[in-house]
Amino acid sequence: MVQRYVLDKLADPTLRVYVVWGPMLEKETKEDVPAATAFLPDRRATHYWTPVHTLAEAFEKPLGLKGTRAWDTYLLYPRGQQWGGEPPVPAYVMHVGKPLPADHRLNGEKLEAETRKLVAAP
Amino acid sequence: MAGRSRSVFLAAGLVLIAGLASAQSPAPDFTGLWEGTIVYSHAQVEFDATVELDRDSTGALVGTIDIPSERIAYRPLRNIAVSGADLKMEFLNDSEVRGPNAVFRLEGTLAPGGKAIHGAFIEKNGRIPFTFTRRGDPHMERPPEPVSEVHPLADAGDELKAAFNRDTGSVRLILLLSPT
Repeated sequence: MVQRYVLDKLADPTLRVYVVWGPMLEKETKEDVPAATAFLPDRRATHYWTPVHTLAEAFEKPLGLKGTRAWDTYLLYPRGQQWGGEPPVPAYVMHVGKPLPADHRLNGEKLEAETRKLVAAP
Repeated sequence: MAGRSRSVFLAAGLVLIAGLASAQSPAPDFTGLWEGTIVYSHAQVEFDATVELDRDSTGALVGTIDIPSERIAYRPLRNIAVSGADLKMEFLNDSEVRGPNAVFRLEGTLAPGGKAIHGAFIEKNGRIPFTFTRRGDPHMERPPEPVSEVHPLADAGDELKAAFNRDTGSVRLILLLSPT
């Protein structure tokens, strides 16, 4: 979805995507990850693997998720935003099946439009 | 009398031309490597798929389907049936809802020109549209999957944080996903 609707449509070479693959379903292993990277082959994407939930739990607070790990979320940040002591609050978030607004459920066209706005911003 | 003969001759000629045209129309050819997308919900839930169809030694259509996001690779197609430009086929897959070896059906129609199949993935709750485009002949070499390097993260994600702050001049997306 992100490759087709965002990266294939936005040519900005400075755009960066960090994909954190992890044990959302408690059964994934690092051996699952190489095949999954094929869905986001863009050179602007960097792929990571974590075997633990630490990051997904650390992002609960900036997303307003209480007791729901932030797996299956898509977090968009503008230029200039820093990551300090806590994970940063995104400018825009999309999700799959989280207790977050329904109009923020993953939609490639909406994510592309929001990303395009930030890319165009000075 | 001469007028009647001319009419009979004309009618016979039309029948002959129609017959020749019919004989020259190629039968719909579904063989090939087809790629497309099954679209449950536009821009929300979409599954890329590859279908390969060929004929066996008896002339019957045989084939496989790949749906990478569902970990389906070279899954045999069964009950492949052709009627004119219409195609029906099935494959088996474990379903969380319907249990193991559930039957999944696809129905499509070959577009004029033979370069696309438009159809639907048959679900209990409806028909999910797809379009497959012919990429080439059956058994053509498929491009390898573009596998990327994977970086291990420390538990707290220090490497991610460092990359995020290094790329502060960029618009950035962080995705937290399952690889399965």
